[in-house]
Amino acid sequence: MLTQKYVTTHMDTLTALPSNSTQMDSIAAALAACPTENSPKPERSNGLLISLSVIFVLLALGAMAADYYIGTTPVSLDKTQIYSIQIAALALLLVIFSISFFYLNGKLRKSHEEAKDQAFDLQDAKAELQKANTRLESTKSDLTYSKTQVTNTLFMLNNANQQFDIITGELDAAKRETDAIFATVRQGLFLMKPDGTIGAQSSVELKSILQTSELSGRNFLTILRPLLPEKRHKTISDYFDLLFDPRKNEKQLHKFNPLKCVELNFASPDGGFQPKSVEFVFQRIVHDNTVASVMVTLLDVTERIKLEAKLQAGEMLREKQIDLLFEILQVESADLHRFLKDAEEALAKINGVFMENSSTSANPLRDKVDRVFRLAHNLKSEATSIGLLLFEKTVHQIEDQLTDLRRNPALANEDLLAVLVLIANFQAQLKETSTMVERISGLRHSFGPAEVKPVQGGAVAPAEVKPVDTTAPAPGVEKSVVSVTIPAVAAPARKPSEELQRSVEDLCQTIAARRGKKAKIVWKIEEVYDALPERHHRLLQNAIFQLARNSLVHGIELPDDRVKAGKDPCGTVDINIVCIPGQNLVQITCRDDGAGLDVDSIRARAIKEGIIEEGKTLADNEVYSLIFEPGFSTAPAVTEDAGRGVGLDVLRDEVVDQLNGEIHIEFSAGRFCEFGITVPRA
Amino acid sequence: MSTAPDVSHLKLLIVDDSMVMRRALTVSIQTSNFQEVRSAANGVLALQQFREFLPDVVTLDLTMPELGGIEALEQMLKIKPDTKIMIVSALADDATAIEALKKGAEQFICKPFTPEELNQALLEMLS
Repeated sequence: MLTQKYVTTHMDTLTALPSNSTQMDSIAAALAACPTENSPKPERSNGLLISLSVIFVLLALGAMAADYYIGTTPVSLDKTQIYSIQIAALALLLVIFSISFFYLNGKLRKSHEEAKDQAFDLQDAKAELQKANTRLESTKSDLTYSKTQVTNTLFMLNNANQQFDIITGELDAAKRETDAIFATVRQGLFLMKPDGTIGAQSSVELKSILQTSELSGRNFLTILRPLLPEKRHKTISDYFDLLFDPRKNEKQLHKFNPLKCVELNFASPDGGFQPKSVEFVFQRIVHDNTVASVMVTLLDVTERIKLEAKLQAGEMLREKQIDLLFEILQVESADLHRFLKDAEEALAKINGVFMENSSTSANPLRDKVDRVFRLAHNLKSEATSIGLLLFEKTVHQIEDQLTDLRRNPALANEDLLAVLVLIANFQAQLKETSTMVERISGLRHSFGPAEVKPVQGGAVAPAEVKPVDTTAPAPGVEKSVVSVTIPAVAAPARKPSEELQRSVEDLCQTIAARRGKKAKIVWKIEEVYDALPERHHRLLQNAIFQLARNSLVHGIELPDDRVKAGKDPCGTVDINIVCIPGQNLVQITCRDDGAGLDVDSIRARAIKEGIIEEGKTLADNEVYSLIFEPGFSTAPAVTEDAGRGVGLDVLRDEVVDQLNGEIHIEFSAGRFCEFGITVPRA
Repeated sequence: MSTAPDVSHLKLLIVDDSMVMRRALTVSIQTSNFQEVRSAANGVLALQQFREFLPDVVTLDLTMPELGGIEALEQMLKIKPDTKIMIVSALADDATAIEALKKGAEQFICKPFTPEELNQALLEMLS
């Protein structure tokens, strides 16, 4: 465009040239027409002749006047006098004529010379003019030449201009294509310069990913800084330095790209952060062994990551469901139903505790946590006893959370939220199990009447299954739906004592297997137990669970240790439930032939927990009271079975406070430990 | 590995605190091709060896007793800046790798490695 303008301006100058040249021509012609002879000379000669003639005429008139005067005058003159006078007059005339002639001749000559000089001057001027003319001619020819040159150049420029237009057109087309690419490409795309700034062009998607419109010329690291955790800044800055170091291996740089897939945290307009998962790819552009720039590609993979997480969660859920299914299939259906029922009740109670507004306790929140803990703990025992290990795990997590809360001296209402979330999970798991049980029973039914394995020593009620003719289903009703009736749900299958035995045995078996121990339970249960109210059954079962658990975890030693101590590798736990004659009391004892209570360990733990001061000696009965303190445990680490120090305090609360009973302990180090519970029958 | 580089004029130092790993490296790299090979079991010993031996190529572990790999790397490059150092580490996070590369390591490979991986890295480092 610029060239075009330049050319046009100079064209104007060039077209003005010919007119100047014409003017020069006319000047030269005028000069050439100048006369070279002395033209004023004839005029001067004519003047002289006229002057001489006038003088002659005057002289002749004078002579005639003299003649007349002489003839008329009375003076007589002789002829000689007359001739003398005539001769004198003629002589005078001649003198005058001569003087006039010479004078005039001198003048004439001078004029002639002047004229000659002028002629020479004119000659010179003409020569000069001719020279000037020649020069003009030469200039003119030069100009013509220049004009041709300019015309040629102009032509070339025009050509070039056309080429330029073509190239500009191509460039425009190319730019339009690039623009189209940058506008439509689904990735953030730009070139990063060695100083870390973003190049002039970038894709529209980049602005959308980084949520900013002003990008060109800005430092990329500065843009990323607020979006990433602070500890990553140095790594990323170092990485950019490495990218622009041509000696560094490209493959290595790809491998250790710290922004391969990162979560960028954008400030949300309503406060907080809005995370976005972004993949970055860095590609070096190398010229002459230096990294001229780095092409950066950004891809928003938030949806993909979410989907992956969802798939993974789905996969985990599926695995969990399969595990749950296996567990359910292995658990007696009556046990399962009882557990589901108990769990529902426990959850309702937990909700009730959380919903309570007023409390007389000095520390109502702590009191709530303790109560929920006990409920959860009992539920866990029940889950363990029937082999529902997934439930056991879930409840264990709830206990973990509650333990944290118990340790928190400044407990606030918000802290309970985490527990509520876990309880909600547990509730979901329960619901899922119920659904699954329904489906399984449906499945069982569609394959034929359900069979319930008879339990040793127990009279198991047959599963209540509606007889359905599988070959001819009721019209409009699907087979699997018809058979939803859950077996054994309507009536408890066994006597409470049988129920107790089986549950405690299952619990002990699970714990023994988990801890590598061997133990058998020897029962002595009098009929009085079955006659107790249901409330007693529930609380006493929890108490016996706890005592049996304690025996397995703390009392019974590992088989090798027992052999070393000269004992049978298989430990024995005697559980007796008897009626004290004459008194309206039931006595429950749980005695194991294990190591007894480790007073030193209890003391050390009490000192560590700050319950007692160091150096203070404790009487045995004081030691006993310690083990009933909430949160007290001698287990070195928390496991599913022990270590939280809940257990004996729950036992004390339930037996002493709720059943108005008493607890006693008897032990002998290395030989046995016996816990006894005495409660009124009603 | 496309073509084995000529290493007959090069000296190799293998630094790793695990004997098993030193052996694995020795076998994988086919050390017999090198002019001379030595090994060291920690950072301090590695530096001692380095000063005496002035190797051309070093494989360096990062987590070692006495003196860590990054520090050893820096000191080695101070003594002989043209040494080709390959980090062979169980720490595979990008921040560690970037730090090592920034401080002058040529290659960074993660344990466990395959002999092919190791030799490819060696080839890239020596070509």
